[in-house]
Amino acid sequence: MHISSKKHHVCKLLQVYTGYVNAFFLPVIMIRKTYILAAVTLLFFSTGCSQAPEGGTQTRQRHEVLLEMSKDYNKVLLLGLVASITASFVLFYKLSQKHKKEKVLEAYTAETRISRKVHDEIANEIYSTILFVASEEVVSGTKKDKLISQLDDIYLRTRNISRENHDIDTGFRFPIQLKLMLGCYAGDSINVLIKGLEKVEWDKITASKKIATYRVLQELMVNMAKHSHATVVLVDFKEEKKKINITYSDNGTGTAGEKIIFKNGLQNVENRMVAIGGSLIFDFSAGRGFHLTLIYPANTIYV
Amino acid sequence: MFSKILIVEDIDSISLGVTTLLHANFNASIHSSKYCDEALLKLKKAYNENDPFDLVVTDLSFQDSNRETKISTGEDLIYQIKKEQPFIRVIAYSVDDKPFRIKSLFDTYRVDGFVAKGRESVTELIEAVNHIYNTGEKYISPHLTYILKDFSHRIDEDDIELLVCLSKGMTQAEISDTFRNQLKKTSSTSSIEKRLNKLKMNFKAHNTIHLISIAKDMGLI
Repeated sequence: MHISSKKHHVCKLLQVYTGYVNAFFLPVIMIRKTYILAAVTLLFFSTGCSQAPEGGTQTRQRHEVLLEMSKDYNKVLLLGLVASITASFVLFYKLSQKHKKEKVLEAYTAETRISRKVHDEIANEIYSTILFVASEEVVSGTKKDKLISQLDDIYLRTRNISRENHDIDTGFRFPIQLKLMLGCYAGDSINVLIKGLEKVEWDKITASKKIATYRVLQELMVNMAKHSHATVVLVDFKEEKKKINITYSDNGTGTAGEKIIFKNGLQNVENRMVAIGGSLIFDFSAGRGFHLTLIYPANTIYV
Repeated sequence: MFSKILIVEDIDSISLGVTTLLHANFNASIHSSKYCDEALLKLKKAYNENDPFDLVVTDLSFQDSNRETKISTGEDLIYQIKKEQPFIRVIAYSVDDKPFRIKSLFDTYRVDGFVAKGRESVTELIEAVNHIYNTGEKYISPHLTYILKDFSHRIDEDDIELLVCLSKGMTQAEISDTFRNQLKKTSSTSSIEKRLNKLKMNFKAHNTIHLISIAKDMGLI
């Protein structure tokens, strides 16, 4: 009777152990449940041992066998515990990474959705209002021109919002798209130089990293066009030791001294880099212009 | 001049505006459609009846309607038109002015013209129609011409190497020797000269000293 109940315990322990193995693939809550289960089993097991009957060589032998068995159980239990702890750490890490990635993608979807809404609904609406005012006799004289130019201003701004947040092709056309984006800030007074864009193996880089790269560079280019008075901008792409290094530099006014004001734009740049496990390095050694290196791992850090 | 024009636009007021505009300026029969699928059917029908359209002016994005649609974007419509009746000229007319989208319209979808909706779009649309009919060439709104020109410049490692050599005070002959020793493809003095001129242009430098000063500002050397 006793042995069969022990067998039952072994079965239970084994169940717990397989439970731990399963826990690799189950949510954390399940692990907690198995912990409780293991504790309960342990309690049963120890009380069962202390209540064992005494006397006679047969019983002693039996006790010795039981002792041996219980040692084995303990080993199994220890192994199970170690396995479960490792499993929960791995699980925790994987889940937090997944969550991070989801957050980045979520922000991106929200952005593009709003962009499309602004584009489809507001920009088109304003445009048709401009057409209406221009063609009908709603307002007359000089006021009409003023109204139209004000509407046009609103229209251009909405279009800019939509353009700055549009969706990004993260497929094989990504490099061409990135090059075009950088190129569109070039003009009579600004030259945009691009180095090494084709040498990076973009097809091996995840979509969320491509999006972050695109948006960060876009942010820097917008800032450059607005404030820097630069005439030359260089964006240098490198892939070294499984890390992507992107150096942005211009010959504009730069920042005043070494004090960097993390206003909206730069704060966004930093947030986006941190979100993909990267970092920013500012370089003030050149004395003039604005120099910034973005570094992030080319491969995903987790398997 | 074009004799039969189809306007594909889902917002009534814009569609009406374009129709009136084209009527006032061109002697053509003008039709309009609010949906891509319907537009394609109209084009097919006209072709089968031996009275095909010769110009299509289409928007790029269409709001989701409750109808089930096979073609939902201007790009897909343009693709179908160019596939089925390649002789039809197509002008895209949109609020969208994303460089990438416009470039792919010309490169991938072989559109004949792009007019951005805006204050000037009325005159631009008339210009586009005339330009495409008279010259047969592509048309793009003047403020967007940069998209097709590609203003960005590419530089490479050798360019940086050249700048570094110059900043060390080396003459072009010496640089040529160094490059030859490093087994670089372009090492002749004339190609160094050419490279230098290209760099001066790229960096907006007036002379070599200016070039080095800018490169220093940029933190390249």
